[in-house]
Amino acid sequence: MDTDGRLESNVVASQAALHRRYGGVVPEIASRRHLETVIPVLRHALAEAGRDLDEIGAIAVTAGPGLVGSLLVGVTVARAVACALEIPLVGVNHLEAHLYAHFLPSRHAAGFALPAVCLVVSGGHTDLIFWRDHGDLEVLGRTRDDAAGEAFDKVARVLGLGYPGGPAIDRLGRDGDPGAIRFPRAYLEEDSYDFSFSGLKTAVATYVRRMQAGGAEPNPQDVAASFQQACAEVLAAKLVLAGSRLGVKGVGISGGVAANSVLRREVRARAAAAGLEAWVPPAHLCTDNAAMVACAAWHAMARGTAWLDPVVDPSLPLGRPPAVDEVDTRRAGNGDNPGNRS
Amino acid sequence: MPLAASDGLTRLALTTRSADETRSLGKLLGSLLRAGDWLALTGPVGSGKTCLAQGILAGLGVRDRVTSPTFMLVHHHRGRLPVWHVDAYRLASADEAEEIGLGEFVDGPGVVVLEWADRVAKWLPEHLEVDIAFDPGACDQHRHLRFLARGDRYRTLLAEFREAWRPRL
Repeated sequence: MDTDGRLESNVVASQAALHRRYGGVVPEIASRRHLETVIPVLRHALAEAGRDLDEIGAIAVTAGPGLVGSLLVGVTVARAVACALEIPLVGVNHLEAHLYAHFLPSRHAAGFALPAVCLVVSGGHTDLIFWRDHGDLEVLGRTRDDAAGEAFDKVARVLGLGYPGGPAIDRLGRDGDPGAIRFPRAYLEEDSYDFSFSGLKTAVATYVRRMQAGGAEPNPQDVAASFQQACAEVLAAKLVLAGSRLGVKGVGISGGVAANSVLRREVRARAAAAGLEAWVPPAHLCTDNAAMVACAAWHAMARGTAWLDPVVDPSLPLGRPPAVDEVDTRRAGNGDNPGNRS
Repeated sequence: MPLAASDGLTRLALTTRSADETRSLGKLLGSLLRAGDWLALTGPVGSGKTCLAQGILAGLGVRDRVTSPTFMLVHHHRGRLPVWHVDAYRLASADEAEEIGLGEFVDGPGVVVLEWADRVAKWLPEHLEVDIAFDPGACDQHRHLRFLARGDRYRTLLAEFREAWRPRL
């Protein structure tokens, strides 16, 4: 990202192929893989931007929340580079970084405006956030049991699909009837912005089990389509409800599950019906990437609130004020996705 | 016929009729746990491992929201004892139990509640196993719980638990 906040390159070393062999993210293997890919990805990102390392003015890195091994690899490498170049290292909260997908250049970015209500939805998170201003966030609700992305992965397992489960269910569901099976929608209490996907997951498992017990094979396309319809409806309904009640101009989604085509469609349709803008970044900016981390750090630096000298925190809460040394710009800190820079 | 806890009990089978009852059962079990205890939960997707864990942690005095640890692998909570709520779903083999640091919790100062324990069965220290199964019939809400004590401590625990749960039967 350049000094005006324009993105120069964004390289993602996907671990999905490796993880597929193991049915999920295997943390130690993941951090070994991080270690192997981080330097090549850094070189690639520089080459793509046509920059030399000594032109870099700051490094941004995810300090948490996440898997400690992966966080440590990123942070250690980023700290080393920042130290060697004598430039600031800025720690970023991974969830907050997902919100900054809305500030990355794309066709929809021009209209994005704060305050907004945003949903960050991924394998580990389902957080509905009132984003008043940069650095001013309020979590309105989150999951009480499984994250939405976890429900996708486990339903994929029930259907015998590979990892990652989300894209597999999205593909399969395209040829299915979303109204074929009426799976439960958990809206919880009237005023709650919390989510619950455990009941939906169990309903899918129960449906498949009962079909098989009766000697029938369930239609996987219909199961996938009906499942993601139920999931997307609840996510979109609560997002749009919160947006309407809080009187914002629009609502946004990001995080890995925001790449799901049914959720994207559902959010657009319900927001339009409620007279709200729908901010739905391109799928490659919704899933984990370095650009969103750089973008979050760029905005924090521009406001003078950058979190310098960050420490890895696997359960870093959202909205935690940056620690102490905001003035000292000669610090080294952390690293996350290989190749993060600002 | 009261049974002295010291007599111990190796196996126990129970049926719960709702998620709430599974949670209540967990809460009672949690109230009996002490530092160093390991609970190994098994059962298919949707059988209620996290639901049982929510009860167990409530019984340990944990007030945080307890969610599935599948993504993060380990959630740490504080109740009357420290609790590590762990999930082996995404581990490929028993070797990785050691790699993610589960070994540090053996004989530790807290309780370990491990979901998808069958994925690291070869590695586990002594523990109380709770296997949850769906009802093979038409009762979607019913769950069959099979307890298996692996080690003297857990035979004592299981006997205590049966005595405490008996009035609910």
